[in-house]
Amino acid sequence: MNAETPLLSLESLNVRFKTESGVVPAVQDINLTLNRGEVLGLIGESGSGKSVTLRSILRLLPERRTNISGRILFDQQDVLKLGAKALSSYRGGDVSMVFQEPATSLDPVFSIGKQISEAVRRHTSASRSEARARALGMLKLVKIPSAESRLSNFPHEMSGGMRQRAMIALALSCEPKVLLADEPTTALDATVQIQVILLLRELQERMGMSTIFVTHDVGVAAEVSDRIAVMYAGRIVETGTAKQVLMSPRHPYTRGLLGSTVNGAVRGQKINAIPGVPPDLSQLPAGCAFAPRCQYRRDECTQAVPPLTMQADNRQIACLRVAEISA
Amino acid sequence: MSLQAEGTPQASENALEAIGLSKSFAVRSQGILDKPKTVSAVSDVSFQLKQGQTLGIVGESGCGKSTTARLLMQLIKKDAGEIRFKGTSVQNDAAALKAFRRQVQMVFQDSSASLNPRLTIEQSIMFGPLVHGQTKQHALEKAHSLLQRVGLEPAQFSRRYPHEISGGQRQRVNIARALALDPQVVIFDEAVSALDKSVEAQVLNLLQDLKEDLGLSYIFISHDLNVVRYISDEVVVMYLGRIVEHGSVERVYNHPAHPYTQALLASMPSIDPESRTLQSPITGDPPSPIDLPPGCSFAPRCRHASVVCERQSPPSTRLSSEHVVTCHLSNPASGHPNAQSTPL
Repeated sequence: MNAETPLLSLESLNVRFKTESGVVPAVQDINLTLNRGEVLGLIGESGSGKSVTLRSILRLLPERRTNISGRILFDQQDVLKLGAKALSSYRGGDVSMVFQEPATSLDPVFSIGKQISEAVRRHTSASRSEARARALGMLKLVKIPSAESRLSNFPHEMSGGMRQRAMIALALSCEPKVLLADEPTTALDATVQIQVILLLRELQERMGMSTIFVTHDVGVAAEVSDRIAVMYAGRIVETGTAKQVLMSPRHPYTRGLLGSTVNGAVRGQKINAIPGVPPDLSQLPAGCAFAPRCQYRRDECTQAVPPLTMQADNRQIACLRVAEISA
Repeated sequence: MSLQAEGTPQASENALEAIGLSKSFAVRSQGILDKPKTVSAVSDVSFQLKQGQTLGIVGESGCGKSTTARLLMQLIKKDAGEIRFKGTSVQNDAAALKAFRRQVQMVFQDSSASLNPRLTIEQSIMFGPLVHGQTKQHALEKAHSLLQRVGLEPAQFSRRYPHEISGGQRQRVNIARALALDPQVVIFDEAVSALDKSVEAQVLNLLQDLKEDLGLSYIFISHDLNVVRYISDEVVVMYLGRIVEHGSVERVYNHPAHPYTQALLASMPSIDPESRTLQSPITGDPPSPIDLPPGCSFAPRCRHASVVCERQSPPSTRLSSEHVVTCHLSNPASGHPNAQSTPL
């Protein structure tokens, strides 16, 4: 396999949830690639499908109630076809995940040291003492002060920032090739959030892993991402480098999202808020899902879903009127 | 020290005033022989909310923002201090509280937890006016006009239940309910924090409109520095239960004097991918507010800390008519080796 093949690629990924009130399309027609050593920021509002996309990569969605189609290729292997044994070495070994809420994602009845060494022993042939040494090394790597004594701490004995560091240590303990981070700094205080962002960036560079970083915070995405994909109502509406997407957004939704932040808004003046609310996924409008809120809407926007098309500057945008808007 | 110069009898200018508010909670001790511990959630907090203005309160979790809001509403009993509404001290008897709470209302963070799931939206909004003795007809008309005012068509929304509408719409209902008794002051405790950015912008616009149209004064509590900067006239920065800096938004955001405020502002993620944050302004987490050491509670994380900071509580220093900071560094008489009289 050569260096140009993406490490992870999603091909026409569709995720539908079977609910009592019918089938809800949570993710539709996602095509995404993650290159080696790259940080991809996935941004969007709640319900846009960011977390579902991330969870489908690890096959964490409840299988009975979920209908997944398309392909998820990791190292040219289809993750959706992995058997139980291959799947459990893939989870945590090749690809691991950091969640938003460390308090509910760590096991409350085992010490941090125990949880990390268990993961290490599960994925390598390390002995008990080697695994413990590895756990200690990981806690030092994520800059937990007095790491030695923290090994025996239970999650409830640590502060929120410390717990998130411990979860990062756990996720990275088996040197995964891909780290999936689902809003890992959202629950943290501002002064702690920036420390965790800097830590993740440093570790990503040092260990050379590829990362998908899901966030609703445009500032956090700017701090970590090489490339950004913007999601709306289950679909990707825009991709490009972080600079392209954040500094010169082209899709009307991205423009609205960036324009509606209070950053730089003048006090006393109105913010240019996008009117309306994101659509209910079980009752998506025909055509472009953003059309009902879009100031550039035309009749043809409601006819068919606009395809994500490659632009001249190597970015992708799903909008029929993109040429006129950016002109 | 509060912002208003001492001895100026301008009480009527202030919609709401807090003077030396303090509250500590007992913490269950670990063993029967352990000394009982206390958390001083809020200590000696004073500020004035001027008529028609918005006072922002910022700080990280555990800094006492929400406890301050609850003390102001008298939802919890204060240990010490005084609350004045329009210059008059609020007494702690049932009748006075009822009258006070009619004038001062609150909107909480969790839009669904703060609405009764078994009441329709119009019933929720009518509840306050009915309790305060208005007729059913009057309360219903009020509810419908308020729904209209917050952007929810009464014909479409008034009979719905909270679970049938979105988070942004629920927060609009909470705002309508807070306004049902024609209050003069509204306290928002992280009221937009749970909303998506595009919805947050709409609600902030609504709050600005309502404030102007109805002549309201706001206390706006948030951990989001950008939102507070946008909506507030004055801002109070809290750390571990104390006010560390207080001033006009322009002064505090452009010339922060307290090392904590400086760190907090520097911790905001950069929006430009080409000028990323390279170094964390401070390290570590805020310490537990249980049994705080003497001296400045920020000293353990402060890069300017000296011996005096660990021994003595810092005094409040007035840097200008609209800027007060509580730090040894800003007080030339404090004995701090790097103290200076001008803001850093």
